[in-house]
Amino acid sequence: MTDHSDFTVDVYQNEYLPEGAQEVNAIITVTADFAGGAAAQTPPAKAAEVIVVDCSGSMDYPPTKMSAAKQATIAAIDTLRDGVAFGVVAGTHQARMVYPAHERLASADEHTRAEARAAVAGLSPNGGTAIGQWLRLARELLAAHPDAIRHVILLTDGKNEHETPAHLDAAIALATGTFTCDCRGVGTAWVVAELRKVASALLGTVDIVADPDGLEADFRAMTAAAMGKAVADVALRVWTPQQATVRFVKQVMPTVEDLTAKRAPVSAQIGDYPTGAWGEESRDYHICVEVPAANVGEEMLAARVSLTALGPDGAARPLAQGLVRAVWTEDTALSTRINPNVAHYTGQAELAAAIQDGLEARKAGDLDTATAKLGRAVALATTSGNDAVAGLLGKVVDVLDPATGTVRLKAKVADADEMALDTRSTKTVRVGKAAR
Amino acid sequence: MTACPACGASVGEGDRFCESCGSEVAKPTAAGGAGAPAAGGAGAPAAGGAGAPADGGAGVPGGRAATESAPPCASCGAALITADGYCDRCGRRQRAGRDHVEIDLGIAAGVSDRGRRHPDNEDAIALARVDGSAVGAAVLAVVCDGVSSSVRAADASKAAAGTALAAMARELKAGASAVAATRTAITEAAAAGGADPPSSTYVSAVVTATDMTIGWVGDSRAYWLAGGATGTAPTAQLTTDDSWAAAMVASGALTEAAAYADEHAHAISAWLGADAGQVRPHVAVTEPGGPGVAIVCSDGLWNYLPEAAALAGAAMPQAAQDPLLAARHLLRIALEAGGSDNITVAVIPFPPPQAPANTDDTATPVRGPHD
Repeated sequence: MTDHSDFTVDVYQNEYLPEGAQEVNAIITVTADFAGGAAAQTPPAKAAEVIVVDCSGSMDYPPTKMSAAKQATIAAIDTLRDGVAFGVVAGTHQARMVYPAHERLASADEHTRAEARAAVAGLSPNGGTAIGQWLRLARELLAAHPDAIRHVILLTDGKNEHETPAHLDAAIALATGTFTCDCRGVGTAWVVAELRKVASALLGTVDIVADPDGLEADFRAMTAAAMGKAVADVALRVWTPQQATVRFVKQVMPTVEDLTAKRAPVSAQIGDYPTGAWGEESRDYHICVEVPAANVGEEMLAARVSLTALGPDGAARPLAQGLVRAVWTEDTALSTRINPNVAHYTGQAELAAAIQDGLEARKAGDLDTATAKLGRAVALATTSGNDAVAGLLGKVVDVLDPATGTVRLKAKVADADEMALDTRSTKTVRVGKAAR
Repeated sequence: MTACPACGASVGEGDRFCESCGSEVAKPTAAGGAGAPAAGGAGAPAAGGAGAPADGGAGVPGGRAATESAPPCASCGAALITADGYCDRCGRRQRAGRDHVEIDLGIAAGVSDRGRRHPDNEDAIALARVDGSAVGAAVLAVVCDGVSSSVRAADASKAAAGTALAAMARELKAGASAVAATRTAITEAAAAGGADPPSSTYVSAVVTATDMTIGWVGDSRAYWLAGGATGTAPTAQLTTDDSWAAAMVASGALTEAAAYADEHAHAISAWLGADAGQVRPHVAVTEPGGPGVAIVCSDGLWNYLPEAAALAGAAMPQAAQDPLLAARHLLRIALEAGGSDNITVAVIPFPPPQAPANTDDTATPVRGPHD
């Protein structure tokens, strides 16, 4: 049981609206800080980990991919805490247990880790790619551990070719809510949109590891992050007034993820938006609510946002809450003020969309649209101080003027650079603390 | 287990939030006004909500009604007010008890209202009837208008009005003259609120069988409305504003119309409070010579009825017979004209009846700020 006071919710908004206005925007910062609290003394939360390694035939071209994947998996196994339930799955056109031999998870200790290392070392690539099959087996393995924080690392190097998109979608739907899944694509033959779909639905991250040598450090980091999670299945519970409409709920930090369609209704006025498991971390959410306008001078609660831990039995444990308010005023000095956080994250969301649209247009041969969108992205990344994304953009376009976003498409772009820009387009930065 | 104040679901002991709806469950510190049980645990109803009887039969405004005792939502009527003061159905903020206050002594009455533009009522009103040792039966009225630019303006006006009324009653019973009691009341009101008293205007009336003693600081006003009998003092404004506009008019720099049309018109040049420096209260005594009505009010009313004659036209003759109805009527006029500020008015018929209407001469306001 974790001390609930480890979570804090801060709301950043301009609550003042001009007469007749109906749209209320706020940035919700949720911070989990377990250091020093009562939780620091409590034993770590139960965890269950499944590592899915692509063993399709293409992993042998070049062979460094397979050897790097094995090394990375072994590094992940070594990072597991004692007592964590774990298993390794080989993914091809079907899903096969690598360790343990039978379809159940082993408890991590010196002995099981050594057995797992040996089993992984013996892997050899042979077969196709059916990611939906992999997710189904991972789900079955984790279903035996409902009270643990359930996490999957999924590595692939190729396109989902040996099942239909409908098969994959069905498997994703089945897995949704049962575990979180971080997806990694190695090389450049995999499809960003495909892995993003998996990671988005399963509340995980997606990234490219273009160079197989980078896999080991990445797997170790992902496993360490999973071991650091303390509370599973946390939802943003949003209450809104009768006759109000939730326009959107987006995670905007550390990455942009639209949660709007993931709403699970609790009652007519309350909905849960899943956020997965939480370790010691901080995330920001942008919530936009349309409320019925009230008279000047009136105040309305536009949203009550509470962080809620959902137990395996469906019981909801509130962790912290924040209030999003609306106050109608005639004072234009108040109502025209733009909250710097709202403005910043509106820009970061536009940045991600501009990159994805720009790359899409580029692939389709619509170079004018591509230039305009990627130019806009350069301007947004520059003004918001998102240096990482600005750097990735610089590998796809020649920047003539970063402030205005005047760019020229590069004639030749490495696949890895384009995929890196695509996968990392949703990474955001925070507005400077001083501006909050 | 207790019940969630918002949705009624059961809440575990020590939980800060309701698991069902996410509402914050009242913390175990007493948040209510006088009469709230300090030991009330999470979700326990605070007694002493607006209108509930407290010590000596005096109701207590500002005793923040909570949980089951909360009145239904003022906007949509839902009986679902959360512990933090919002309607759980329409989200509308529920105002504290001072949004609309009525005091009815029978022989005098007052109302105070938030108006239509301000988020809070920063005016305060206090009314009482006392039997003075020297002056005989008297009606006391105090109106204070918290200065909006100050922090805790509502607290300032409430503290000032309550302190002044208590001081006046005490001094009159001890045999002081109305003028002396008024000066003491202003001095004590100026110091109300401890080391950091915020700012407020002040106007008070002590109405006895023979005269009216008006004390004021700032731009809250008193008026005399003549009842019409011969020999009665004519209808008139009894106060002179401590304000930029009044100073301009007094010095002959601007006409009254021009001065009050200026954006600085309501900048007051004197007030009660820590930042006010030496308070120079005005005290004036009027002998009406015949029946009529004394009015004390904040600028939220007189903005719409600045002329004594216009005020008399709106209030008389009803004010002499039914002070509460007259006070409500004047409030309605100000609201319908825009209600751009908090509106407070006390209506005191002259002369007050000498046979005590209320035998308990220790009576303090039926409803008044005296935390």
